[in-house]
Amino acid sequence: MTSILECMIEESQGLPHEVVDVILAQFMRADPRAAGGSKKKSAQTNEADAAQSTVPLAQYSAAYNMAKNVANTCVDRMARYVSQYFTNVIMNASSPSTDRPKKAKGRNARRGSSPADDEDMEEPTGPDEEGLKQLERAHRLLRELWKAAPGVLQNVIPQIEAELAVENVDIRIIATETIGDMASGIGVAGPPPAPLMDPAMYPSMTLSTAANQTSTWSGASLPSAPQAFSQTHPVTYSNFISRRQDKSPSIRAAWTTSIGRILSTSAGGIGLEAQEQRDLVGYLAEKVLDSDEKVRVAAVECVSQMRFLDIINVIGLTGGIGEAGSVLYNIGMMAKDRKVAVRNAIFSLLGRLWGVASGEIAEGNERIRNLFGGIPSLVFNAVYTNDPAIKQQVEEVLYESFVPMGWPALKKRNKIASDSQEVSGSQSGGAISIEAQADKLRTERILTMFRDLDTRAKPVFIAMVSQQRIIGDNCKIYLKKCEEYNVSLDFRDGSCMY
Amino acid sequence: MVHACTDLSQGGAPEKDAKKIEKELEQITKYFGTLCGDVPRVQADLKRFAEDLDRRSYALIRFCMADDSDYNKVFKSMVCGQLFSR
Repeated sequence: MTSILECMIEESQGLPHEVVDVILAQFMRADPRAAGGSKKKSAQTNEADAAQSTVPLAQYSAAYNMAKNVANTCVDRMARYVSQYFTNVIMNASSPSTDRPKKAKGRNARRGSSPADDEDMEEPTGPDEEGLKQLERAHRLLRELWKAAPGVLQNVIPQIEAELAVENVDIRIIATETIGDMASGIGVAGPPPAPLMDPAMYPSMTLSTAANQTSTWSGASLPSAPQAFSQTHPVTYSNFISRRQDKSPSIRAAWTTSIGRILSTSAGGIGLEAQEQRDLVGYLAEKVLDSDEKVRVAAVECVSQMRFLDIINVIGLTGGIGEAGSVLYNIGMMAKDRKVAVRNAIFSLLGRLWGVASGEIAEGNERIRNLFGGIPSLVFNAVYTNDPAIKQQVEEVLYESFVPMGWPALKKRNKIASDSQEVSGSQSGGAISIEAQADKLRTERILTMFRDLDTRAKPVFIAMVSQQRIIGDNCKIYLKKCEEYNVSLDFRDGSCMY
Repeated sequence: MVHACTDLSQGGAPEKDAKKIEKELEQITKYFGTLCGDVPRVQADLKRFAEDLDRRSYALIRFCMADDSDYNKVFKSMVCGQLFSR
């Protein structure tokens, strides 16, 4: 069937736009949100699909593959039709909603995506909002087309480049994100789920287990670019890079997120040249210090969504937490940021990073120690700002990430052994009991952290520990007052419990 | 019954004691408030906790704060007692 279609396309004078729509609609099958409820438009189904949207598609459907083959074989013809299609969409998006034809509805029915058409005209949405949604859908399709059949976009890319320069911020954001995702090889399925970095995991992550963090990335959600966008469309790419200095903070934030994705996917698996990689990481370091809060948060978030190995190998290129100018150093400096959102993101990231790295640091890995060993000092030194909110965050980091409650979660070896331990807490056959083992590991972790604390941070940690007793005593007083208070309330009510 | 209640209030007028206790409660909740930085909210939360009279929570907190509780006891009373979900 594919061959018949290819012949028809090659030899026909022109294809009706409905045929082009159908072919292009098949690429949207890679979107897990569209895959489940293709004909249904109820809000409920869409919510359920959104919950499933993080489940990656295992493999592409036959229809998708057919459309892909057709597009790759009849590149020139399809390029023309695709370019026409996108020009129409962009024109539609810019025109007022009343002019928008039913053509848009038909397209959506086949693609089976969101209920934007069902959003009734009871409340007339401004033309831009509806248009923006259509534009977004079209750009999602663009990402998938780039992944599947980059050749057909040769005439469309200049149009996207033009979008980077328009006045309207929303359009610039859409264009920036699209180019970023194309460079990362992210398709309509969106980015893969962020890898888990749990500071409380036991056994702690090692370099070898870290490699398995992304083993679940597969199928449609695996970022894979067929060609290097920067090589195929260098002018557009360089224009995209220059968005880092865009006057709108939303665009700079979107740009930062895109750069994070390019770095963590290594440009969709193609790989980045060493200099380019260093440049991008350098830009990221700058964005951590951006004047706008949104951009700073985006920069910190994109590091926190990287794999542990990427943080070591890529982000670590600029140096560790103690080296001025590096991404980690800048993040550390921003721990005292006046904006709460930035501080929250930073403390969470730094805490988790050290927690995950603690295993390797304890084992003596000098490189990891240089990169992350200074984190606890930085966190504790933030207490010197005398801001109670910051102090509270430091305590949270200590109890959740540095030395998490309940760490290590050792499993009881077998029931017989555990029974004998419960009876007398004694050792069985010379083996250390689970509790003693846990205590030993926990002490090692605390000592590992303490070893790298600088002269200012040590007193902070010791003071926090000694404050525990004072707080404990105060808690006892509080509880006593609670009970007395309740008794006094009873009197006031005129009733008596006794 | 009234006599018994009066005895329990240790000889003073119950209303005065109640005010005194409430003031002391306010002082201690203020201390915790300054630890966290948001005094009014912490005070309101702790006062509500006081009114609930959840004895099990009190016992669990006492285990956490006791000098002679070891790590495991503290951990279990926090987690297994689901102290924070109450």
